[in-house]
Amino acid sequence: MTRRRLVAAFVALALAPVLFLVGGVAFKGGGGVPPSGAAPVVEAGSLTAGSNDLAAGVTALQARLKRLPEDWTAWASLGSAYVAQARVTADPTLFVKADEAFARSLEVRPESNDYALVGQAYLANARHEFASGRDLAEQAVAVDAYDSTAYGVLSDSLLQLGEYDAAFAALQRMLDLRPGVSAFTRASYSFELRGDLEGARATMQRALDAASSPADKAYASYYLGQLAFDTGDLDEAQARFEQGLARYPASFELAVGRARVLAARGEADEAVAAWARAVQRLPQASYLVEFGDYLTSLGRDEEAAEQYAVADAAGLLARESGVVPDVEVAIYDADQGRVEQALAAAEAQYAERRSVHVEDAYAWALHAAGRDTEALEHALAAQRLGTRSALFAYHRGMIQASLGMDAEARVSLSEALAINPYFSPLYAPVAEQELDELGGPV
Amino acid sequence: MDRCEHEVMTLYLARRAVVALLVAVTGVFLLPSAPASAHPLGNFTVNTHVGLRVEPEAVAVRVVVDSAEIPTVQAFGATPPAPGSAEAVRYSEAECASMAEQLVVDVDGRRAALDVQSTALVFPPGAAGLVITRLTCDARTTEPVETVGTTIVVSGTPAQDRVGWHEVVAVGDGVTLPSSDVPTQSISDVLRAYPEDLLQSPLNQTGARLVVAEGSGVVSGGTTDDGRPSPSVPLDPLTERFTELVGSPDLTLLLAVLAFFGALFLGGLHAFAPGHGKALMAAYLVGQDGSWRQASLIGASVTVTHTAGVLVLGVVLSTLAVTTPERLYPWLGLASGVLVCGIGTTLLRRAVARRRADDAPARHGDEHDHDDSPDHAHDHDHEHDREPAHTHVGTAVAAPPVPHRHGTGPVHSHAVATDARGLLAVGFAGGLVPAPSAVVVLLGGIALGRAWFGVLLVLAYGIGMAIALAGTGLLLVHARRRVQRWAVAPGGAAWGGAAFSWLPVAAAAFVVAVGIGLTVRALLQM
Repeated sequence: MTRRRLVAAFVALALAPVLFLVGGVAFKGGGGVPPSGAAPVVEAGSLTAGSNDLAAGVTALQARLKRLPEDWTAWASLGSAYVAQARVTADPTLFVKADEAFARSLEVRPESNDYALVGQAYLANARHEFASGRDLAEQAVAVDAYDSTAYGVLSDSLLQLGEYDAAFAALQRMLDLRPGVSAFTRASYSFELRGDLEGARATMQRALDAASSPADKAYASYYLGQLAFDTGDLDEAQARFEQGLARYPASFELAVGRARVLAARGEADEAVAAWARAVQRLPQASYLVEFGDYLTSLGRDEEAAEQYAVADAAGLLARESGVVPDVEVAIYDADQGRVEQALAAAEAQYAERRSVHVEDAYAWALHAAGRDTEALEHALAAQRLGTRSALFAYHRGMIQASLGMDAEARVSLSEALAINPYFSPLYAPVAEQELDELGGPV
Repeated sequence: MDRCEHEVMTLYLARRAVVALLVAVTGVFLLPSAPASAHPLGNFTVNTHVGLRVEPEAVAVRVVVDSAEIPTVQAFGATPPAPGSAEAVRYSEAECASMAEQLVVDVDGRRAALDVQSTALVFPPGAAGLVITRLTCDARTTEPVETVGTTIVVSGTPAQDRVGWHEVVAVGDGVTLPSSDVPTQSISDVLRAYPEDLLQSPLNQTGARLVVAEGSGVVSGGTTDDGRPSPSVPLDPLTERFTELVGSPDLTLLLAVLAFFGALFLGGLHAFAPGHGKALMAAYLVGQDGSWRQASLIGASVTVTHTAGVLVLGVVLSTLAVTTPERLYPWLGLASGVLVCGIGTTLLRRAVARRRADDAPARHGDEHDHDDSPDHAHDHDHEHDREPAHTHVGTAVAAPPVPHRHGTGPVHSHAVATDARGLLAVGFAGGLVPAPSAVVVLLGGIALGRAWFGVLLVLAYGIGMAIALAGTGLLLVHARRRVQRWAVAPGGAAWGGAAFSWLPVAAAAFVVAVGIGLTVRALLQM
């Protein structure tokens, strides 16, 4: 009797640490997060309007997979839908979920599963791992030489890596296989890169005409407006954005486009309100910097500093999760006078890939570091496709001016302002001033 | 070495042991918490929880907003205000007021205005050295509103346009909700643990439609508290400060150690709050004439029971979403009271039996044998020769009036076994009812994503309680010995011996009385 009670007492004592441990484990919920988070990714061809459609698609796929857990194509589609959502929400857990979904698809069908491979390539691109995106997309193409999506994703990777000839070839193959919305939007971007803005506009119009989902339509409307804006056509841009918003009021991109037009027109109060609403909704670094630059141009330095602080926090978070900083980050750091950080970011990118955007950012970072001779080399390399970009031309012109190449600088800066006098609220005035000092536009 | 020195030495060793334990425990628990993790739902999500509680004449709303790192920087800049600072209070009041204004609670088509009752704002650590924000607003309908038989439609929940998890839950309290389009429980544990199911997307609930009917009054599920078990357990300002300390955005090692000792101190202080087992423990130790070893055993038992009790309650509160821990307390109190009654009765029976058996003359020896705890008797035989009191012991052992209690070998082992059981039971009874403030500290820790730290603090709390309780008991034992030595010494008070022979009986009776008191109190609370 006594012994039994003693045993009970000891059991209670022995159990205590177990309870203790179980308690600790049970409370831990919400703690550990995989470190694979990626930075917000916004680049040509990746913006998605109307995340509600996407959510509806995801819900449908989830329901299907609960019934049919062996449907490997549905797993691959779900993974891709998660990547698309992640690009809108910058939610790193969605990348992890996407990864798992592709793995499930490959588990059910390990061989000849081009859907999962394309999905994995898409995910790699979203994480800015373009080389591995290219390799995966090539494997998918090897499985099915008639998979148009595989060619599309392959062209995305190659464009970012700066392997333009191969990229355009892959894109042409996609257009041949399935001339649809995805192919047209990518084709439009390839025209834009090569400086054929009219071709870009016409192709994007075809994309809009072919689009059926509200998300696709909103996306195409945004790009048509943005193409107009990039050539300084504010009326056309505003018309596109506002028509788009009337039909798709939830589109984040269209709201940003409208804010840009308002800013360019000098309607400061409305523009600031529109920008503030936009970055409240989706505080991605590149938009925060753009809004900060706009506030700076208005002399509202304190408010600008708030936006820059948020952008800095976003950069900090991205760096901590091991993401290679974007090219915009390098340009932003250079503009903020953080030369070493800018150079480090640009060099890291340049070591991986040599797209025209990377060349431009590297040139600008080198310029900030006072290494103008090297900078010019890269600024010219950024021009190798004949891209008509006001920002590229402005960077090139400022570098040439630093080198005392006044005639060339004058041409470049004139070109920048001729392409789009509103290209940056902060730097367009700088370009004008510099051009005046050089003797005015050519 | 005389007894006094010996006790000083023991105290010193005990203190060293405690310090070593603290260092070890602190190290173990602090290390894993070092790398902070990113917000589970992405760096720029704003996640919302709207918990509705429909009562017969009111609707209570709890809004919790969990903002990830980026929106926190957007709201406060790089450095958030200190919790409890004027800026933090201003911010939470303004935010809660605007949420209460935007939240539409339509009762049969008529909008019921809301009053903010209380707000809370904490900054749990996030990734990259940044913090995240957790804002809690409690609001109630301003005017009494008859809810039974109506349809309540809620809309205008906060931050709908922001990317994130948006959930609405609703429960009836005193009414039932025969039709509701939202769940009764938060599957995210009120934005603390987001499900990681591959086939589950973040919720996006932005409203609710509830049909209200007469009902039992049992809260069906519910919105759990944000670190506070219940408004009906008022917090003393000290605990409030302390919870704030735990919630401090940058938890340094120094701060952690400070918090640990703070918890130790709070636990000690708590032991002196009225209605606690210290009287019981003191009575037990005095009656049994306890030793260091006995006191430590009680202390350990209190710590273990209390820590386990708080953890269990914490698990229950944070996983089962029980809203009303005050309903649990009377039951625990009852169990504790019944247990104490049992212990008291056993003690009383034993003491009375012993008195009957001891009606023979050699009473002094009887008492003095108990005076010596086993380790003294074994380890320090030499002492007996020096202290006058112990000459009596020698006599008693030489002529034992009650053989089974006074033999040399078996006596002690028997005594230890009996004591261990009783001591553990006393400690168990003393630690059974979890201190509300300890639960608060634990839940606070969980709410801030620092569960392990919360657990550690609860342990410290229990240790503090144990030290205070056992220390009080030992002081009394010591005092008793002094008085007794004086009373039974030659030339001392003539009544001394008789009084002390009754002491165990009186102490046992007192324990029974305490047990009855606890039981009655618990029953009255039910």
